[in-house]
Amino acid sequence: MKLFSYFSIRQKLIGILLTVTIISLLIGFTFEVFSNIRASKKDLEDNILLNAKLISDFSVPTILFDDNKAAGNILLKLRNIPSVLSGVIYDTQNNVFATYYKSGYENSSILVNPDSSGFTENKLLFITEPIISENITIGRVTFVASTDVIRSKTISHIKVIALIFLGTAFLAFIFSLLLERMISKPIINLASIARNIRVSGDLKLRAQKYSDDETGTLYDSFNDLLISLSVRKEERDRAEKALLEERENLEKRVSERTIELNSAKEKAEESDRLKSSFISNFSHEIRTPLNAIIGFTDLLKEGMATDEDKAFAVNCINESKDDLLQLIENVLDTSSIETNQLSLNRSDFLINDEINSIFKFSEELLNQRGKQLIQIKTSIDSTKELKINTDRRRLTQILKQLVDNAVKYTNEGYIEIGTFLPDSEFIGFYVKDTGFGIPENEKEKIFTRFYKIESDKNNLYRGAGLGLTLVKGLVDTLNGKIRIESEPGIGSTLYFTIPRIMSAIDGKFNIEITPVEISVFKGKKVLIAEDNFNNYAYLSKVIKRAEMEAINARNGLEAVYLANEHKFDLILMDILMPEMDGFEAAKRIKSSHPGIPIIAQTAFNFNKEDKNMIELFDAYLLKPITPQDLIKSIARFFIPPVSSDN
Amino acid sequence: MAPVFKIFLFINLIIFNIEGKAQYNENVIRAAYIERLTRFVEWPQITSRDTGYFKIGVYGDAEFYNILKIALIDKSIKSRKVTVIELSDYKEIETCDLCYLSGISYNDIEKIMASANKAGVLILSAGKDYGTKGIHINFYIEEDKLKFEINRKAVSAGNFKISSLLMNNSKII
Repeated sequence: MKLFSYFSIRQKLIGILLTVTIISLLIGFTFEVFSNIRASKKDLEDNILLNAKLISDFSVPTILFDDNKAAGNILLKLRNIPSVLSGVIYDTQNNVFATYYKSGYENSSILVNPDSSGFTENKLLFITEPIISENITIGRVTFVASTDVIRSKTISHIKVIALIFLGTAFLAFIFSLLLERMISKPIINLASIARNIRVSGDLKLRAQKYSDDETGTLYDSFNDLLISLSVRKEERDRAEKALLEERENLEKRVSERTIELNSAKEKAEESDRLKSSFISNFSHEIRTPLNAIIGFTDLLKEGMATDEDKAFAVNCINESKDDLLQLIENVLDTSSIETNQLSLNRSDFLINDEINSIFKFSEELLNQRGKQLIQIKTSIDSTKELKINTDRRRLTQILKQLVDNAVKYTNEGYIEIGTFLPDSEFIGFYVKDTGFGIPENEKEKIFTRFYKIESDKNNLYRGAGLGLTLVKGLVDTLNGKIRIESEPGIGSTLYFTIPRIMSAIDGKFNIEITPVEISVFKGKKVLIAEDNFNNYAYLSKVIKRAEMEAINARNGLEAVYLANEHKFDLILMDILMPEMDGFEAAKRIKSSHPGIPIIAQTAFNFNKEDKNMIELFDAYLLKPITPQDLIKSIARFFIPPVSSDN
Repeated sequence: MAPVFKIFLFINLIIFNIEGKAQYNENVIRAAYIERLTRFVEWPQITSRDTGYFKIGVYGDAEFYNILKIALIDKSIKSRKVTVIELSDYKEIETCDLCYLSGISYNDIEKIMASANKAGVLILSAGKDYGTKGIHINFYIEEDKLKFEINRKAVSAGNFKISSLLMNNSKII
């Protein structure tokens, strides 16, 4: 059966038809041959029997009248029947009355007198017929016939059958060739279409059916399948397209994310590098002024020879202190900007005043740095009389930082400080120098935190890498923009613009203190809640110098107790204290003594918009607290304050 | 008696005895043949004939009459019981179905046959040339065998129908 599967459907159909035909013919023809043999035997038997009867009838008078000669003549008629080998007439006593033997069989031993009629094993037919007259058997006639005629007839019949068989098989083959097309053609056609679809992939091809029989149903089902496959293919194509697009998008996103991650990684690495650099620089920047402070402090302890030396030492300590404080303030301001906690104090002032102040600062700075060869220029003609409303302290901080940078990176030439008016709402400032300039690829990086341009020329310059970061943060906080123009070897110009009028902000703490008269403090009683004795000593020294009385509470609980026991005009409240913190203490004191002003003083840079700070405290001082700031802050509660809005 | 006479007598006796024995056997066979012959013959329809018996008349041969009478005792021919009578005059043949005539002259044959054909009587004989003279069936001896000859014209004239089987085994004249 496996071999059968290698044949084509045409061959199979032809094979089936021919096989069925041949088997049917073989069965039919076999049956026909055997039937023919049986019929031939019957014919022979009937024929011999009929002749026997005839001979019997004809023999009646021969026996009746004892005429064996006539009987012999009658038997001679058997010569006309080739199959009869012998004929014998017997009388009633079973005596031979007359005989006939075919030529060549006269003495044949096979022609024995049988007991009964019928065919024998030696292919002979024995027929015995009684001779009857007047219902009385008067003898019998016995014939022996050869069955060769049956064999010859059978052979002839088989030959004819074989011819018919071959002819029929040939016709069956011809008809099967013609008829198999009726079945195979639709299937072959369907297979061809299926092959075309497989090769071309065109699912729009359709099979045209030939009939409404099972093959027609097969065609319909095939077409339905094609439609289904076509729909599925379209869906799959759409899905693949969507998947491809999604993959492309994903690849794009991955690529973008990779770029971002690489960028982030580079930034992180850069940040790490910058941090390392910052720490190194910061350490240097801290240790340098500390070195002067500690050194001169030690020298002062040991005792200096002259007042001039003492004054010089104090001045050096003071300058170093300012440098150190500036560094710390820059760090804190940078942190405040990044956490959106930087407070702004709005005020009106003239541009001319601010630029003059910066000009003086620049001259002092050049003197300090020993760069008297650098010329300081200003260009403020168009804005000389312009009055703006912004946080002057922060504007000054920006300009000082830019000038400081310009001085730092310029060895000769000039530094120009100027203003311009880009439009009716903004005012622009610039600081131009003739320093070594900034390469194009580093222009954007200079505003990055801790970033310092490293080159053979500037490696010698000090700094923590926070100056321009702070400048940009301050400009952004003032709702302005900053940009740089620079050419290596020529110099740099940093431009920034800010709104002429800054948006109004709620400034509970934004009060500009006017110069204070010492007399207003005389006799005032101040409670200093401070757990650190040195800080208390410093604050009490300033307060006592202003002729006020100072009492120390070493924690919040003690502060509450003392506030209840004594009448204080003002309380300086540290925030982080043992037993009870400043918030809780202020809350309790305010509940029992709401009229006592409480000024928060802490090393933490709190958000001034913090609810607790606004509700519990009347003012806020950030450590380190200068004597001036402390007095200014206290004074506002003892003299009428002057609003900056006025 | 003289020896020669005795010898002659003895020879005659022997011959007589031989001849008488042969005659007797011939009569027996002839008697048997007569019955067998009737099996192949169909008689014409004669309404006046007595259908109760098949009557066989013998004329001119008493010995044969005795033999035939004995031979056909309790026999039936044509489903009728056979009766054998001896005729004293051949004119009596008209009452019979079959007659065996012996010793008649040739001159009487024509008259006898006319009467027989008219009456539907089958005439048998055993004389020389009787067949050619008009007797229906005439016995004769050939090669020591009793045979018979049939006069087709006479048979037809008597409206008898004789089976071809019999015709094939007889001499037709």
